[in-house]
Amino acid sequence: MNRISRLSRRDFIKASVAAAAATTAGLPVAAYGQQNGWRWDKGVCRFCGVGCGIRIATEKGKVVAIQGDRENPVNRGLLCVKGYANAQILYGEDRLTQPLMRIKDGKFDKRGDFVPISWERAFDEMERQFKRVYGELGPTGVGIMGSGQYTIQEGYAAVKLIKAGWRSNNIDPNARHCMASAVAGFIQTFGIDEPAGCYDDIELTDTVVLWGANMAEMHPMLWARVTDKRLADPDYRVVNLTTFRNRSSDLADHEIVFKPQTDLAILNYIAREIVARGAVDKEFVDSHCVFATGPYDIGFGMRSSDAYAIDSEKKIQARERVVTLTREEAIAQGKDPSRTHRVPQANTATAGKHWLIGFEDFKKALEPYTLDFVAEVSKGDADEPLEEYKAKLRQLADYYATRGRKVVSYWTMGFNQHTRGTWVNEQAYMVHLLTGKQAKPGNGAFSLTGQPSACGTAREVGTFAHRLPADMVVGNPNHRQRCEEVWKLPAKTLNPKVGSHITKMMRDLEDGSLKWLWVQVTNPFQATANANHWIEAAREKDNFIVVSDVYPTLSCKVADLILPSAMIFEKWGAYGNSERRTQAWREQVPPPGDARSDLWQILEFSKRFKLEEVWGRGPIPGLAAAGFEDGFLPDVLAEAKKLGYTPETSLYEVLFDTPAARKVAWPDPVAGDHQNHTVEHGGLEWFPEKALFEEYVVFGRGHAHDLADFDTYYRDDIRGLRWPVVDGKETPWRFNERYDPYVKKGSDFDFYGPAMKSLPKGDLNGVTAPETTSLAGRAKIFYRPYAAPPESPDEVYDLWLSTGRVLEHWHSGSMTRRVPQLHQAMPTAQIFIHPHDAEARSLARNDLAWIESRRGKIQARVEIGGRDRVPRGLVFVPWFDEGVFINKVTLDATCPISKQTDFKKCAVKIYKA
Amino acid sequence: MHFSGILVSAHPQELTGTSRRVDALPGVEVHYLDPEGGRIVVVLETETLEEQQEGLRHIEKVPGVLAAALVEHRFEELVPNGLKSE
Repeated sequence: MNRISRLSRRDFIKASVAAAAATTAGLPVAAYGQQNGWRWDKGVCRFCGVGCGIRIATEKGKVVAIQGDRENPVNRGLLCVKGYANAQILYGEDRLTQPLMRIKDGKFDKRGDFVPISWERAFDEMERQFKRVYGELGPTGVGIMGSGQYTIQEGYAAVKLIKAGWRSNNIDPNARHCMASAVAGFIQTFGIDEPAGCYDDIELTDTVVLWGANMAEMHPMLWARVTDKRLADPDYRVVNLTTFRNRSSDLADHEIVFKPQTDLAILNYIAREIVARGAVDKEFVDSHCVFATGPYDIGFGMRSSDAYAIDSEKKIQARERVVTLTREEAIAQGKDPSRTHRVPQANTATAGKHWLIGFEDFKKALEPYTLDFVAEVSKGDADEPLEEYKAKLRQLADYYATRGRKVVSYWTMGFNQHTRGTWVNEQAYMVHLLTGKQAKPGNGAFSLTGQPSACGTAREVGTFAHRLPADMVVGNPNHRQRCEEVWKLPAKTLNPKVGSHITKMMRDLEDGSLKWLWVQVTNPFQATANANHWIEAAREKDNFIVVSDVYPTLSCKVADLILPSAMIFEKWGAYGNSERRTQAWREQVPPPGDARSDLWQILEFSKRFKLEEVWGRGPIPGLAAAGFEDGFLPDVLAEAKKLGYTPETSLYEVLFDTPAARKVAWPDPVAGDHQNHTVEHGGLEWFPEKALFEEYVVFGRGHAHDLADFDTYYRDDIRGLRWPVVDGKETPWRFNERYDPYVKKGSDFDFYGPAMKSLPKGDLNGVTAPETTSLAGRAKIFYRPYAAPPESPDEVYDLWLSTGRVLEHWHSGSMTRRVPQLHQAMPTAQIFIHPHDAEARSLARNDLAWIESRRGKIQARVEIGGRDRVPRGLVFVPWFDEGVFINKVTLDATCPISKQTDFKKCAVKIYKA
Repeated sequence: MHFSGILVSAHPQELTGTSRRVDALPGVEVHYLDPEGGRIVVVLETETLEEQQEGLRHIEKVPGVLAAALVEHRFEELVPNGLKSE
């Protein structure tokens, strides 16, 4: 942090409390003002997944003011403390403005110091290292770590370069850490990604239930809408389910503090009550749903071997192979709790498989989840009387089970960062589908996202190791064929084998199977759990790591080459928010120094590859898909000739500088007096952001992912549109005949997603009849059991550790820590601990303490009061602060289906430093 | 320290006078006025929760105030970070 504002901490707190209170009342905090010479334009906030509309003022090439956009239906003119910082994040004093490479004696050297170099020299070394690794390991030896903060066009260009150009599927976004479990839940339940409902549900519902979503701090503008409604409507109810008291509890009518991981049990209790009380909406379920379940012995997404584990990690790692059920798990799974159940984890590689069951099986599976049992398993605050806690659970079940009472369930990381994240997402749909409270105005289960384009880019474009645009996947031959047609590639250019997810890419760096990595718009070396392994792998092993960023993040410090990127309003782009709303902005100001857009970087680097270097026969370890030689991708150069390419044609020409793209000319009337530095520095006569967008939207049209054309999003009267956009009309509620044009006429509801819609039949123990049945148009109600996490507190590591965000900072703090007011309001991360737990360790407020797990230890100061009030036995540490590097302590276990890391629970001990 | 954001509703025609009377209360600062809606946003700073409740009751009793609702509350110790407390 460079500059500290003179505004005192007291003044800042008062100003932000006043702003929050005014926001609650619907008063605009900063009045609209018009200064002479300022140019105003619409834009979207750079931070979370809410997607607030902002207005940006520029003067003489600088952003000079930010306002909430009153015309935007998401935030209606209001912004949180981070939103107002959208200008300041561009102007931190340590902005990266030129490429930096580790150099010793005039040459690249992994042990060298960072030295400023030209773009040409940077690309030369990147290319040399790439071709060395590609020659040695083939397509699987290289990778890209991408982002839910990519613009739509950047994500699309990155996918095209790596999947079509380099024939590697090793691209995965930080969004894997953020909402992969939500995606898996959507695909398995509905056969298509993303929520049915929209933010309008906040005003239309009677009940808001937060499941592991501290909306007051993480999605403040949605919280403002909840608060408005709560204050105006005495019958409106808000429930906050959480593992510790947070700001959302202040407004909530009911706060339910539960033990980590036991949300699985609570949801089954609610389902059991719904069934027992006869509250199932039989007509809805019979017409639109089926029941399903899957295997329980699926492991925890850890490595199968402990070859790379340090000794202290091996005990936990062994649970990837065999699990001894806890007493609670045995009961929850209908087994005899007096016996020992050692369960080999036989389905770690097939964790996502599932089959149909009957309603009677479903009902039987829920039997153990009585109020007494679930209250005992789940009560999270030792100081809360059991009967009070039970009354709250009963009240929660009442809200869901009461016919006619509307309910919306919201969640974010509490559900998604969970070793059973996919299951718990599916359980949320379970209670909504059982009661028919889904895909209706004011009724629905709604997954919120943490990043501004986790939906719009990571998910919709498909910047994942297994995905292609518009919900297509690399493992499906029809989907590959469709992409090869649109992208004008020879058949079998695309690699059918799923690549490495982001945590696996880190593991690949450690075991030497990945040696060239490009990090874009993310800070993975701070963000990935069990970080000691990955930092060491990056620095000590034979590999080359490129990080494109705007500030010197921890990942930059780990890198071999740092590329300076342009920030949001220094380039053209579009984001898609949590409610399927796509919003676009123009380039407002030029980037500083030699900083360039990520898109420019991708286009320039693609010029350095000839087809003969990447489209020959290539080794893919383990590739055994139908139609492919065992272990190899075919040489497609001969087929490429038929498409008019030669072996010398560059990837730039094949993928980007296409005849269709060249028809999209720059300058374009949509730009007005706005510039495009990607065009200027690329020497282009075409408009790459528009050309890529128009090419990309072809995939979604006619497939229930329809976007409008590029120019529409720039119209003065448009503040984003919620897809599918058909005949110029957006879709507020999907799967509902009244609102969604894709629903079959006369069906009322149609869960038309096509994925995983043909299943065998079975019972709670497995498949009994292998022939499959089509479930077209139906959603699945899953039974999923309670399962204990891989690591829980014991005698030595006796506290739960949960990590997360705070209001002032976003993610790893690389932007918000450059904003003086935000930095000063929360300069360092602390350990939030209960006063009794602190006292038992002779710790007082502000004492320096060690926080240690089986994987690493760090120091931080102790906070006993403060905004987050943890129960006894649990501590919370935010992760924004690279000086308090909590991911050295966390465990890299994931949901085995979604591969999303559980950052919300592991075991630690704390002692005085 | 407890910092409380309080939303005060007042008769719009008496807003200025009411706002002045509220601002004069100990620990109270008026931050925003909404003349159309008759609303006043104030921040109340107190040492304890008891004082916060008392302060809220004082605001409610000010002539012209129709209602006062606590809508935002933060508890922060104003100890400079990095320094040990005694």
